Amino acid sequence: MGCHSSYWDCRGSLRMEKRGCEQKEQSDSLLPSKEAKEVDHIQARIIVFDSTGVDCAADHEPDSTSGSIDFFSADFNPLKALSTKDLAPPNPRVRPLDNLSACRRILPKEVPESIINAPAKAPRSAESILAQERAKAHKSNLLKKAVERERQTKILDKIAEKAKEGPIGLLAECYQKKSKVKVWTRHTHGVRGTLTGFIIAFDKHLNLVLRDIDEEYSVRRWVPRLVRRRGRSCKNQQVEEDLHRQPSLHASVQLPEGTSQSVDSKTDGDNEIDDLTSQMKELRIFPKLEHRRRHLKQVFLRGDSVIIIQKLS
Amino acid sequence: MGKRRGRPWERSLLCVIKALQGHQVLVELQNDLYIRGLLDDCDDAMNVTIKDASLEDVEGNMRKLPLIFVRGSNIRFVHIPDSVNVSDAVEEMRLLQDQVALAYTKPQGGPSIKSAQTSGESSVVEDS
Repeated sequence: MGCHSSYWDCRGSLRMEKRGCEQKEQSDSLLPSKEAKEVDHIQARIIVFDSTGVDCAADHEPDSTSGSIDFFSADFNPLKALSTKDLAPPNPRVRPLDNLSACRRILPKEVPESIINAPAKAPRSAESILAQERAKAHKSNLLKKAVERERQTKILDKIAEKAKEGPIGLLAECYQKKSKVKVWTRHTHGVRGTLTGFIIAFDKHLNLVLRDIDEEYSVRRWVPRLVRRRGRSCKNQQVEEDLHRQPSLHASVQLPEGTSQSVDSKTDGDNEIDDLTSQMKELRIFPKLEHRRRHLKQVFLRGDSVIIIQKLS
Repeated sequence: MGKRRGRPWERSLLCVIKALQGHQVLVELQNDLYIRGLLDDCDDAMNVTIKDASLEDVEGNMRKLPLIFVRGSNIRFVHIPDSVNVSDAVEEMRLLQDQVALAYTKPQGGPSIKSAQTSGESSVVEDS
């Protein structure tokens, strides 16, 4: 036979040799594990190497001179066999096993390394099983609780956790204590007014949900007025009506003005003509700030209108 | 963790506006315009669509519009109807969103048919 398979590969895996010469079957592969019982009748010889080539078995001699190179002898020295040139194992076409435990499975029970001689795994005690069950239950409970907690605190968690520190912590405090708060709001040109109420919800943008609100605010309106050329303003009955007309949706009460607006009704025709000619009135549109007040039950206020939030004790 | 962050509107009070979807609201804009109508939809920037709206300005002029889109930055107030409890509405919306998410991600409409039945859900489960 020209070629002989190398007896061990670089992994140092196990080879098992049996006295295959007497066997009638010329199978090249090793016996599968179900036929392992047949191996009992056959004297098996195990040669174990580790990757460095040093024989792991204690009773083998480490040097490569002593012992025999007969694969079936008790004195078989694998190191010597390796260093011998042109030495082929008895059945060179044997299929190598992958690891030690594969071999242990097919070893007969006479051999101490056989898996049959391995101590049976101690069955798990009832305590350890219980402990494992408890751990599993605990973990699933924790997961459930975490989900519940995440679900539970919604607006709360956003605000309370993200707003504990810093100036916005004051808002968090007002929210938790449900204290009355005065919010100053703005419109494009200055302060609009104030809202006094209780905070139901808030966030980092200062969007607020308020309840039970008294709002005092100002609305800028463009109002036509009759004006003297010299600049002194004068009232007109038509203008009065415009001022007092309240749009239905606004539903607010106009605060009484500081200065009273009395209507000058000039019944005297001569005076009217005199006024017109001498004063030269014209209609101009003026911006006017109307102060209003209303009561709201529930409102969502967008944060960009907020200037100041004042906590009322 | 990126996955744990949840839905973007749940991180601010946008969830309140979301929860008000389908309610009659009065939206007051920064320019003192009032829009009363059915809140149709809301997005992450608080842009809002309102159905069957009546628009009123400071002077009191009223207009009826079937559908109106308002840019979020223009909103000043959203007047919430008194009957609505804000935190309850928000929780309900959250639950709904969770159910919807489940229904769309898992096959057969949920983790298991049994659990869907026990929780009393309407039959999202269909057998294909």
